[in-house]
Amino acid sequence: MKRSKKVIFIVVVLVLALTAILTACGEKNIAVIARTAGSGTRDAFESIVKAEDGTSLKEAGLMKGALEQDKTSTVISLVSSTPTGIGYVSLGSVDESVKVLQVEGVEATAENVLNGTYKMQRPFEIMTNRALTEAERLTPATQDFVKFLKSVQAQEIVAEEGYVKQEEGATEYAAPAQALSGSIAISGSTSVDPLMDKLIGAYKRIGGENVADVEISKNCQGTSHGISAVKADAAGNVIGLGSSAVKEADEAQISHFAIALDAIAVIVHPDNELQNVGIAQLFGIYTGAITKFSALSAA
Amino acid sequence: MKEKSVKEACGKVFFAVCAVLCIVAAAAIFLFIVIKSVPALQATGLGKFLLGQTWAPDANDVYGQPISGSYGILPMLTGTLTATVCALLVGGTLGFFTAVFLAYYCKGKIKTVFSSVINLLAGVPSVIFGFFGIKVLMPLFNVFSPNGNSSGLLLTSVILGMMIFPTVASLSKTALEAVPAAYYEGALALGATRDQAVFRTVVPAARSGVTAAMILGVGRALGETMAVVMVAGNSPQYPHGLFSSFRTLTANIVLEMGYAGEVQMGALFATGGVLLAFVAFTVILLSLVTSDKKNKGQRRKKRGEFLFGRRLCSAGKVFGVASALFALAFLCALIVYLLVMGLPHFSVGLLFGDYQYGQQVSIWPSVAATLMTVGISLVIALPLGICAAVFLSEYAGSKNPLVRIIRSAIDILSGVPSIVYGLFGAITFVKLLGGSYSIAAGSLTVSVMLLPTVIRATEESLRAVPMALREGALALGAGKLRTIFTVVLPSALPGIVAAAILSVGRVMSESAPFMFTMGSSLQPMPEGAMSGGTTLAVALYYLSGENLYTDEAFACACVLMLIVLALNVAAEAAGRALQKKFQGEKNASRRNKRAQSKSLLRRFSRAQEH
Repeated sequence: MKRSKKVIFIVVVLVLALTAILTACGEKNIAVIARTAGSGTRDAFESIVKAEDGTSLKEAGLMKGALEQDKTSTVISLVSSTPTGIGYVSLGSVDESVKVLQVEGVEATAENVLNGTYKMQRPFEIMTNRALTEAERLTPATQDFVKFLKSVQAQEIVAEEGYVKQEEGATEYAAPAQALSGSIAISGSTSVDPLMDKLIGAYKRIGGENVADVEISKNCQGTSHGISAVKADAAGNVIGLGSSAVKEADEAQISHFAIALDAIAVIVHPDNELQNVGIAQLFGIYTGAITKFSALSAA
Repeated sequence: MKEKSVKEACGKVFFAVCAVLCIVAAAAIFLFIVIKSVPALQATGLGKFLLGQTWAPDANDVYGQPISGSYGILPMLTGTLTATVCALLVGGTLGFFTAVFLAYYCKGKIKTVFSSVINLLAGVPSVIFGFFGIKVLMPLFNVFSPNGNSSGLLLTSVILGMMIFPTVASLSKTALEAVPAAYYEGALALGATRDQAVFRTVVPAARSGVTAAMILGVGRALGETMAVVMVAGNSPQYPHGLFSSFRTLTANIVLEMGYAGEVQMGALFATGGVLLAFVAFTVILLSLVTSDKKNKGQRRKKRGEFLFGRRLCSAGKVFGVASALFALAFLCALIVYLLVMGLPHFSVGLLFGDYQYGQQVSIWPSVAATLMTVGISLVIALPLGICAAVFLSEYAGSKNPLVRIIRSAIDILSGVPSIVYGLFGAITFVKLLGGSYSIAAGSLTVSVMLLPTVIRATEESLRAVPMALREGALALGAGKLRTIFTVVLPSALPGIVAAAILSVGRVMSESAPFMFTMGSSLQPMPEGAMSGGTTLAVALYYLSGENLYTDEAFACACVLMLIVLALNVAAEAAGRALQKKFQGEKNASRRNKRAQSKSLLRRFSRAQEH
């Protein structure tokens, strides 16, 4: 008898605990969704987001308990399935499953990025090994692809995909006179990944038969991965993708150019009534000082 | 005559070398991981690494300069252990009661059905578990979470629990069935009810076997990676509530490898080293538990106390039925959900089309890459594994110290988390093959991983070959080599086929070892073994994150699941073939008879006990 009493006791406690959890959900806290350390997007986001006194999020540090995702896409899918979620991703990868917030009252559009009113922006960098590039020891196929990336045609794709063009220095790309072959290995930022998909597709289309044998493999695991791959390049066929400005310390080893400017979009669930968020508010959310959406609309 | 003995000796040495390769592989894994992690540990300090409270790596840190990031893994260590314990609470309990139900409360067809359910669950790729977690369980659990997102401890424990469930259930069942029938009958004769007989005599008698099953479950939970990454939330903090997001050691490696700077990379390898230490610990624990068998009975007799009262015993029975039904329901939900969501999206373009960057997603290149990986790894792992198994079963005495070391090496190899294999492959095979991701590197990595699977399954089937066949061959004047190749191996063929099928299943369902050896984003058709590629499971991981490709992800999951189903059916068929083959053998020992009555899949897992 004693034992069965114990069991009843345990069951009661469990039921109580469950109801406690159930009732504890008045207004829910914000589910803060971030990228993992080393992501170019996170790097850029944390440098731009500042408190009113000028401390950047990078210095203050991300709050404990933020959900960290290793890919742009998982951030979007988490936000779209979480009514109280907030996250940040490249504007070009946003789809209709999430809602993009205005930042400081400015909408995230290509125009606003170009005229500088939308603050949350960063360049997409194409990187190659500096020593090899300067000695012109990149493979012919790689050189041709880089030439394409610098071209007007590539810029058209950039604009089509909703990124901001880099007008300077764009040249007309013409398909190579001779058939090229060999492999090109692309690695780096997951934010640049979707744009790169389109660019590779366009390159194959415009380059025609003479580039048909060029084998392009792409493995995007993050900006830092791209940087180290480019540094370690010996065969002259590595192209790195970066989603934040190349650091001074890396300049010596990496030659690079920006292919586009990208806005970092702050995204929430489509049912969220919030329209606008301030940079200082983002700082509050990502350091854990602001925990409810109601605190934002009241302010 | 002399020529013959030289040949025999050469044969023996060859088999022995194959077996010793296991030791080499296990040692190499430990060595490489340690070598890679020592500089990082020097830079951060061992104490600060193991007991540090914050993980905030700085990708710019390099060796030889003061570091600015902090590399403390204690929160993740705690996270891993907490998740493991919680998973054991879920999966261990369910598994144990299901095992009791299967062993003592059901017969015939029902038993076969539930046994296949367990086998099938054991074969479900971890990415599919994670995918199911994100798409089905997460929205359900979100309602209860204080911040509206349920990534975290509860979700992870449920998913991990269901993943270790089949391990615990099948091994516990074997242990329960191995208890002599006299125990059960004796208890009944003394007036105990059936439930009491089961829970008060049989279960305590099978305690060491059940404990071993739990330890193996713990091993699996510790090393699980991909499913956890998808549902844990991944904040490097202490888990502090059911819905608190946390990060495990394995997840840490997957998340940050791609981004890692020099010191950070070293720290990740050191994280792998900590995982290896856990593996070594569970292997030692396991050998202690299983070698303790003989004394256990006596000790328990002295204690003389039973665990449960009569009512609780009946409750146990009900719980057993409930757990088994729950497992069945879970599997059905998983399969039906995937089929319903995936089948409508099957299209020629998706399944067989060309992958075109930015235009068409196709899993055809992944199918090709998977087939190539399966092919290459089988060509490497099968002969090596079979030869090693021949050595263990035909040549080696169990007392031989070398054999004991080989067996421990096999135990360790089978316990090493797949993500650690990935790390190992990244610094050995990838480097060896020119530094870029390739199918060849992935295949080599996974063949090391397959060795224990192949060896155990083959050895089991070799042992099932009746001694009389060997004796007959020897008596007719055949040498030992000839006996092995013309009598023993052909008789064990169905078992070897089953080993191959198991290996195919393993390659299909693994994803972590391929991420850092073959690459992780979808690619056009691989041109050869030296180009990168993604297996189906990795493709699913990639697609599941892509919001744009949800339909494709479901279709991909569906294809993967169908392949796993087919492989399972094939493995069962091979098992039955072996069983049939020796049905008539009267000389078969009791051990063999028992062995025959189980499907091969199951016998493979039980091999751990020997």
